[in-house]
Amino acid sequence: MELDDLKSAWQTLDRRIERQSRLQFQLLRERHLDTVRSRLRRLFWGKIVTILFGDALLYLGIMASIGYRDTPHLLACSLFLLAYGACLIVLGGVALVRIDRVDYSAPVLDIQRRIAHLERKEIVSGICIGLPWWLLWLAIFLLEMKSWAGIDLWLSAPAFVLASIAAGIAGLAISIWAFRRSHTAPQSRVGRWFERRIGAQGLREARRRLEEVRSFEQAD
Amino acid sequence: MRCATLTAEQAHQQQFEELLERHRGIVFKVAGTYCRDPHERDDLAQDIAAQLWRAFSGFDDQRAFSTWMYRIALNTAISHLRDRTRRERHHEPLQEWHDLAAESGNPEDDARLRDLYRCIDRLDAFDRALLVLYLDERGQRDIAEILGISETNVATRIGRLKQRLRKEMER
Repeated sequence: MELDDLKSAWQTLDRRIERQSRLQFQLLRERHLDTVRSRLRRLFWGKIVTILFGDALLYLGIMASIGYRDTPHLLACSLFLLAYGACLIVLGGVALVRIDRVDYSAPVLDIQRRIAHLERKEIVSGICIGLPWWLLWLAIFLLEMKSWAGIDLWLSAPAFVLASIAAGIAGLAISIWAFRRSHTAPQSRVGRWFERRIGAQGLREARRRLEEVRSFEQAD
Repeated sequence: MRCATLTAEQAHQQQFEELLERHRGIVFKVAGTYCRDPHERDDLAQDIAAQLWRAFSGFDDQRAFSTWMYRIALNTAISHLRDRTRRERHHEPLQEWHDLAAESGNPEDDARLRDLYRCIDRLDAFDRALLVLYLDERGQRDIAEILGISETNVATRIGRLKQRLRKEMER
């Protein structure tokens, strides 16, 4: 059987589909046309949630920076929160624009390339959004302790704060090292762990898809 | 005023449904090429129809509806295949025979369809798109426009596809 022989099979399929699709088409019409369940759609709503979360952090950051403007360490925590909230909003907004630009009526390879780029950027921005939490939790904890219990941990338990900062910096450094290691040695134990937990596999997959698009485009 | 708007919307939807009905074969053929399971295929057909409806307001009347439809159908199907591959990375289900190739009383036709699906299953997402368009007898220019590659590339790729299928059939 050759490619041309498949044409007669295709015509047989055409006839069967023609018979079956009348009924299927009726069912299709009865279902709602506004229900798109694509991954991009889920990503879209995920970004809306991210932006709302960013709004909440930004609001908390602004309120805290006004309230603690005379206390340098609490002001620093507030500004950290504020900057992180603003970053979430900006990254979420940029992603929404990118998602909106994916027009399925464009040529197949253009769209598949765009989606692979989008997925790669999303994974990288997800990792970037996650990393600051090594220190951000402490900033929130310090602000909340002051706000709800009136305890300034920086003054009452400086050893705890300094140890948490040190642990946070160490965690941050290890995460960055593991991320780099997953690139340079994906088969190592660290690389495999990172792949399972953080999504380096998704990153590699997005890269593989871009490569697939590129190689399909080349006629050579 | 509201009544006039509603009428315009209804006319728009009616125009869409007429075009969709006329070209419904494209939706079901593309869905059938990328999904073996009948329920999943129905879901994909539904997704394609929904994407078509979402994009319909941007459709340019001067262009061929079928070309526009193929782009959306193939983009939706390829994205669906990617999502499924991601979900099933650690759990590859057993291969099922396609229900469209099931026993129909004509063993020759059934065998031919099974061969067709066997070929399709061996191809990656882009080659499947190329095969669908080729088997549907779209011209090279049309295929190039739908996929976003040059006509020369289309000719080269079809040639390679023929060679590859010939080799696989000889095995």
